[in-house]
Amino acid sequence: MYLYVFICTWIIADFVNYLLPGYRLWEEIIWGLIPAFGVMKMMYLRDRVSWPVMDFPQSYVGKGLLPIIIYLGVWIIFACHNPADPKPLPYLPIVNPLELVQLFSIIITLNWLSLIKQEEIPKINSLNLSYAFNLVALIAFVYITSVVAHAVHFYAGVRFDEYTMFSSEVFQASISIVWTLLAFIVMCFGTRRQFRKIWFVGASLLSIVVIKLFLIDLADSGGIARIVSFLTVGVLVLVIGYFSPIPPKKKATVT
Amino acid sequence: MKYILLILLICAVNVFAVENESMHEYARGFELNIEQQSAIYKIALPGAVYKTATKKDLSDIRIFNQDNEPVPHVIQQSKMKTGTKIGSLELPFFPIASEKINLASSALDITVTSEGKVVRIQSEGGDSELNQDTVKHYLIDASHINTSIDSIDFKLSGLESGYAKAFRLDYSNDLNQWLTLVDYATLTELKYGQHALKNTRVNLPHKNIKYIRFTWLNDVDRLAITSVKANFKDEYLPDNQYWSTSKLINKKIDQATYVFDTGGVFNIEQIDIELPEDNTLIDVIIESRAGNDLPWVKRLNGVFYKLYFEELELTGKPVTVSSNKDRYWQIRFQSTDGIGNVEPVLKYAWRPNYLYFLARGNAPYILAVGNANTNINNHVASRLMNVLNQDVGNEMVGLAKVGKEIILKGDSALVMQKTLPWQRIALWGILIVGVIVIATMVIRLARNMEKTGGS
Repeated sequence: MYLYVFICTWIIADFVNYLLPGYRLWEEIIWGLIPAFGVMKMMYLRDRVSWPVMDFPQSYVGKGLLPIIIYLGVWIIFACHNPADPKPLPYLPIVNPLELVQLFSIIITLNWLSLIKQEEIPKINSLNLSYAFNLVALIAFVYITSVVAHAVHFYAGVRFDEYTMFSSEVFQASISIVWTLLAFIVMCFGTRRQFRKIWFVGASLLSIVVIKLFLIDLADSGGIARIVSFLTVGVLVLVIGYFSPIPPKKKATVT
Repeated sequence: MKYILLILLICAVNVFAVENESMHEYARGFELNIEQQSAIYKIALPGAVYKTATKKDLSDIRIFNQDNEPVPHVIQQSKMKTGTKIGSLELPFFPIASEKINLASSALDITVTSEGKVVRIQSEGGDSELNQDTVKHYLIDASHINTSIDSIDFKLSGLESGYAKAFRLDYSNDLNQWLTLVDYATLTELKYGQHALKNTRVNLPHKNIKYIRFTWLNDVDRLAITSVKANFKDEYLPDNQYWSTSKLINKKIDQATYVFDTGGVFNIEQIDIELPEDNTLIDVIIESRAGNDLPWVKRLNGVFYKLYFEELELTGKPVTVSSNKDRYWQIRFQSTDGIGNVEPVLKYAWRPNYLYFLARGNAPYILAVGNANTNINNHVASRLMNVLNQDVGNEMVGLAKVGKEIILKGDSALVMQKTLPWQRIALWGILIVGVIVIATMVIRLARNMEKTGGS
């Protein structure tokens, strides 16, 4: 199965390179798209093809898919370092080949994990589902940050390298706002579902943003971007305080 | 379903397929004359190519062989000082009768251009009085040399029986202050029977020198210098930068704004404004843009002047701009009272690119240029460039010269035809399908997670 996925990926990447010479991104996304598509196909076939998938479910849809899933996670992180220039098309956040394939890979991974949780796919003893979901959440967080970096690169003309991006006040202001929005969504979700753990994840992210505001953003407090980020984050913190109070502790049931 | 997918795939291949080109799709061509046999040839692109090209990246240039087949080529940005190497250069020199060489001297009238080049020297009594006995010095002009001179060869005329004459050399960078360069040296040419002794070369210390003063140390039997040749230790590389004049296409006198067209996609490095009237000093903003419908981009803010001081012309130097290929340039005067009614002239310095091509097929090769409708990427270029950089030495690259111009399709090839951008439409289609698929998956996943109870 691995050899099949690898050869398919290689051939299709080469074919795309032939079709779109000079547009390297379209070739590079194939190295994430085809393995992710392979995982999706195996999940789809799990109760449709009697042999060999149904006869050997652990090898084909369970433990057997784990190396490809790990590869996808690594690929998503590495792909974040790509400037994501979708030429000949213009850049649009998320609606561009690289970020769409990254998102597709994240969703496929989540889908696979949730099928394991629902026991539609045989459980893998060595895989701690809770840790796996947390890891996917972390990868998704890195992905969202990279989307912001790409957008700043294309719309604000900031060069796409770590040093320039980190020193850019537009990038720092943008991630402050996006991370606060993310914290807001996570905390609202935690409040609605009464999940204290999730609420605390959001609260931690918000704390990181506040610390970042004082340690990094304040260093150039005169910049308009920084002023906007201070104001926006301040307003969002107020909104969070109003809409998503901490969920109460679950009371121990007395028997 | 599989058949539909196959048909769609074939259609997609056709949408993206690279079609073969013909030289007759291009506006103009230039014959390329090659002298020696080589696998790779190199040409410096002439100005006419830049005036015909429609793409800023020169992607509408092709080389075709005799069978009208395109051959692989790559265009390289020329680097500073990559002209033809030469080991020596004739220097202009001027015999002078007066004792002193000094710009302020009333006995001597020296005319120097704004670049420092000596163009005329006239003694008080006129040139008619100059002969071998009255000439006291020779002024040698090396102001146009931008590297140090290793040695100088002199040719003398006068005594056929031979000579051994002592002289000294002084140097100056402003024609006023003179410092010793060579305190004592001799020029010798002696013959005795079968023996001959000749020394007409003097070695110079390593210095950047603009002017040299040659002085005979004895007043009797002075010889006339007939030639002065400078030799360079590190071969002197003449600059391959060209100056051209742009065309004034629009002016708003009330706003003191002038718009110029360079006429092509030249790689512009320097800008100079030629002022129409003497004793003018202006402060200008220079802007540029690639197309008529694009906004102006500020390139620099500078002062240009043309002043006369006791017949000495003082002119502002050309200003360097960040290298760009913008065709339209605008100069805006900071005040409206500086220039008068006459128009300024915008000059630009550009450097030609070098084009390398593989000599596939038979000669003659034609350089075709000007096709607004080509969108084929020269994807072999980077590979060819790697081969050139790593595997092929300069000795394997033959030189080709641009010959006569031929009209291929003519100016109609320079007009963009409106066709549907199928490639872009197909790629947008793929992206939209991707978005729909992912949105569906997200909704399903959310429902699934809802069923299982959240996190």
